[in-house]
Amino acid sequence: MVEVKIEVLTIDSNTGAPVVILKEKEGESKRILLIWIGESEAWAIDNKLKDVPMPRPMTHDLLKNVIDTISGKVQSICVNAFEKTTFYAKVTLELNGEEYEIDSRPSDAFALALRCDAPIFVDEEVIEENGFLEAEVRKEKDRDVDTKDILENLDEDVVKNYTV
Amino acid sequence: MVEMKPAYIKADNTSNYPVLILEEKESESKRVLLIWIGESEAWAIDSQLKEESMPRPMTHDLMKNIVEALSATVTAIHIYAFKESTYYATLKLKSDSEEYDIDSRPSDAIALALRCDVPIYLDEAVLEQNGFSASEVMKNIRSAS
Repeated sequence: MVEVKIEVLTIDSNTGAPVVILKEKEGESKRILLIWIGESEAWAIDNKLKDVPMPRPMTHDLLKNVIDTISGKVQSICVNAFEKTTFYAKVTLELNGEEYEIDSRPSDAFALALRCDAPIFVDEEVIEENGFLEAEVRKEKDRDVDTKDILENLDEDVVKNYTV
Repeated sequence: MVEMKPAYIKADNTSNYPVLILEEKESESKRVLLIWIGESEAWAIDSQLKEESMPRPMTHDLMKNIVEALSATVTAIHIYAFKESTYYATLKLKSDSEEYDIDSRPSDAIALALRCDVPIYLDEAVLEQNGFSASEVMKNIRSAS
């Protein structure tokens, strides 16, 4: 398992769908992984990245409040598989010294991890097979128009420019 | 407290936002309450009402799975107030024989209640002040659509 962070949440200009760009936290040549997600989960991630205050608890805030109330703890989340065109994740919870693993879509797991300050991991095999080297993506960016729009702002805080 | 059930979800013709219509479960002259909710929560409720099966757990399914994994149970939900055009609800949760009330938007609470098969309660005063008679509302819906 490698630890990653959410580098950017942006819009894929080809499909109009939100895409989360994860980047390896440690390592010399960092790998990145792109995961396309739904709009409402994108909102849940974006609001948290920007610390937008909400008058009422949103769905993932409620989920965190439920876990906190029963003294559970989100230890980590992990993107642990890719099958056909779908990424799979699991949420690892702890309660009274016991660990529990719950199947989740990556987007829900990210929205929850951000709220619980839990680390985000990707299975080594998953990032090896589906990830890109940051340096490769940069090179590709110069000659490949299709990936350009998604990745053009990789080094910038595009989160603040993100709109749905 | 009055027990309610979700009867219908419809887009409001004026605002285009989804409206959830809650209907009194037991009574002769049924009263209904209209609650405007967000699109993704509307979808979470609607898919459950229609018993659509999803290839992956949706957010409220995840919530249910987490509650169950941690040996807690949702016992009921309660819509208890209406302030400045917003309805307020609580989730009634039981864990280790302790009972907890968790603040929630009604839409999330209802999406979870449907998945956990628990009753949806509404405060009598809230229904009295904000409710309509079912026949009146359904007549308007039919003539508008």
